[in-house]
Amino acid sequence: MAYFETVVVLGIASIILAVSLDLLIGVAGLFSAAVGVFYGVGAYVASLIWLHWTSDLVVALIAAFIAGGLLAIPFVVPALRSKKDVTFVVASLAFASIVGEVFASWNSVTGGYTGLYGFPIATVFNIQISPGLPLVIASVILVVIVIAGKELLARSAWGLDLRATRDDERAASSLGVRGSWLRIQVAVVASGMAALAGVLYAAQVGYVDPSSFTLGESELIAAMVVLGGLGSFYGPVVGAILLTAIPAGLTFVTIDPAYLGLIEQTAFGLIIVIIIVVRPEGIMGGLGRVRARLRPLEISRRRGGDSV
Amino acid sequence: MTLFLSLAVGGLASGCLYALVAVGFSLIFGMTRIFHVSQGGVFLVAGYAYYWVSIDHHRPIVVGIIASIIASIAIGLLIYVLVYRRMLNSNREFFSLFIGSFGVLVVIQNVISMMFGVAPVPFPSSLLDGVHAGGVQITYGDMVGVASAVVLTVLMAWFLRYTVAGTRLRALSDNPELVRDYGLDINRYRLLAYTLGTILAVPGAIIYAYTQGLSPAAGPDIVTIAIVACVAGGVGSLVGSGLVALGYGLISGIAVYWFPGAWSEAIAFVAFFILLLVRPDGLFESAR
Amino acid sequence: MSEIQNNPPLQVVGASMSFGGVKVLTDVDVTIDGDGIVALVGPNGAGKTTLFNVICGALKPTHGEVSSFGETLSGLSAEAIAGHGVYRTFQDLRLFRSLSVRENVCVGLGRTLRKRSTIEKVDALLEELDLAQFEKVRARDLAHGAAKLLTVARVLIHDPKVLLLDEPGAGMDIQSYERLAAALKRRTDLPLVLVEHNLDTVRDLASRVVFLDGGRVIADGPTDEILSRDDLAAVYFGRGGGSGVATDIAKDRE
Repeated sequence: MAYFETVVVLGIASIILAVSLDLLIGVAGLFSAAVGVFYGVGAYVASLIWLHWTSDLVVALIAAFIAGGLLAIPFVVPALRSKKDVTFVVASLAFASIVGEVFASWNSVTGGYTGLYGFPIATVFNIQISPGLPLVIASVILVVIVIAGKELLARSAWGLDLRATRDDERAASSLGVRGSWLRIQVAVVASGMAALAGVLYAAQVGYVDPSSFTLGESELIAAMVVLGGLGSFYGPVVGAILLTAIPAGLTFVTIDPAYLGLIEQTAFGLIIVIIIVVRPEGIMGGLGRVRARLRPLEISRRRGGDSV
Repeated sequence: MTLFLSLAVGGLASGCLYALVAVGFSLIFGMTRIFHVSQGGVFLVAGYAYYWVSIDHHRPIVVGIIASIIASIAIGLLIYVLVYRRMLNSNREFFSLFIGSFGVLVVIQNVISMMFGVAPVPFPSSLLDGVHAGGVQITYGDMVGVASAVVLTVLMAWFLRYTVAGTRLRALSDNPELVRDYGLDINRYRLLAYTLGTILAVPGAIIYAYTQGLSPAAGPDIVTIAIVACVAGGVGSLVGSGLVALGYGLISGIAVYWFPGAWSEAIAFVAFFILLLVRPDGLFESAR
Repeated sequence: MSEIQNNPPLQVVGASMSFGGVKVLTDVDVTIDGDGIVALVGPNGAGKTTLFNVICGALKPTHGEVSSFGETLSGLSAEAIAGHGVYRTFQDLRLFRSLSVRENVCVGLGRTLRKRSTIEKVDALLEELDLAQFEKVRARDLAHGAAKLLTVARVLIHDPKVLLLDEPGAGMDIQSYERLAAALKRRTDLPLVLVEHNLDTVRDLASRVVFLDGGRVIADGPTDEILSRDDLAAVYFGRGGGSGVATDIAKDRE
């Protein structure tokens, strides 16, 4: 039973990460490979707060959101100086490498490769949110807030201006839209969101070390978003659930544990490739707008169920 | 001071290897618009093919090199045919090509991990010996690395400047429509650039395996350096990406003089962010 | 030259611009006083679109000043210039292709987006330009005429103080053109500048023509007068080598 609850909480963390990445890719058109890193930032910040200050879950969430958001600034401000989308991707990879080394090597704070452990069970108003049902409930509340927040943002005037900037930055600026500023804002918000997922991870697993927040994690999240369908409401959620449930199911099959992770990763990689080559709109069909972006020359090949 | 110089030499030598991969990446990206992240996978295939033939099965070095070239071209073409060709034909944008290529890299890295293990495979330390010139240590690996980088750079420059195919390739990178207007088959030239870029991964992979050890993680590491160099050098500028890759090697090499070794890569990447602030579109900003 | 006016809606003084040594604008003075529609006319490469780009901050002129109602626009970013009420359209449309028609019109409205008055204004504008029926269609799927109308709707919603339209009528079907012309003529108090190749359109809409050639203003006056001058027609239709005539006229004017 405990195993099931672990899967649920980490699955919810994945949904939050996928939603955060979809805000970046689907709404703002920015592909970041650093989502896994902000996931880690949230986990480390929560652990440090629980170790050194208070066991409060809400405090940890707020602190993680702020820390994730602030840490995005030294990454996105230089990255967005260039108008080329290549630059943003590459900067995100470089940034992921830098922060990954900080996790692994800043021993006095992050505990290096050993990581951080032994922190108390998180609390809300002195009620213990222990791993298991209480944490599942807290996670569900959090993920609902995150999804609602993302949808509100995406549908707001702010989200509209961002989507316009994604389509044509110059035209948007001629209408008074400050594209660069909006993009910095969206990157800060999305990074803060990803950090929230890290808090759930830390609360559930009980320790954090650098091995969980690698490029591989970012790749898994990208696979979720691509699988579900970019820029759609259900896409990232469905993608995250599928890619959590499938490996969770696999653990009941007898595979040499040494190979399990590798097979999983290979499967994720294959899913990304097949989906992006054969069905770039993802299994949820996606909203036309993003499919259009991914498949510019095939306007006429619209399928049914495409009402927007 | 001699320590500093030794570090600088070592850094420059690894920079040469990075430069080979980076120039290959830039060549492909500049001329085909494929953001070929799975170049990191090709790098792994090249390295492991050499390992399997020459180290594991004790065949002569030359046989290993040939096997490595064949294997990398084969995997490169396989990726092209299965993944890129379709996307290029339907004119999909950078983003899709990047995600697809990224997936391929992940697959190759993990399949190799299953075949050879996650840990580095054993290579003889023969290239780690070397000579001491006035206290500055220069390993044979450094020499071979620098030499092959110089030779290949000269060959590439000659090819692009003085052969018909090379001239047309440069035209392709400047203005694809023009090439089409002249009735040249654009796909053929794309494929040529792609194959050339692929082959450039081979020497880097083999020497890297001898000097720094070969493990599946090297794939993403190397390609990250290559794409950073490609962007920081200025997209489309082969010279720029080569120079930045050299600079990356140098900075991460000498960073060890002042900082703990674990920080060296991070410091080199921080330098990249500073460069972005100063020159957002890279060292050799392209007109496009 | 037009008479000196305090704080005209748009004033360009001595604008020069060169790309890599090639002069595309030389010492251009244009004042838009808000009386009727002004058409920028001239052969290809005369610098009309470049002038728009300079006014709207997409290009920084080598020399010269642009101001609107007494406020300097030079050196401001494109979005800041829009903030001063100076809006433009693009020759190549530049619609937000994946957004719906309605969303295209709503871009840049900010917090007012959800206000009832804004929604009604959007409705009315879509109706006026015959776009209401396409409200939910994505911009990429629009026919050319409707797409052109949308570029105009997209700027009109902002109640511009000055509006620059880059070839608004080009390639339009007659119905769409009539919609557009009616909408523009109705807004008599809006200072409007067009770049236009079709001289029929110019006659129909504009009361004043500014004639550009080789990056210089070579004539400026009432539409009928300018369009009936044979020397300018020669420049426009390229007879006798445009630039030679242009310099002659420029000398005459001095």
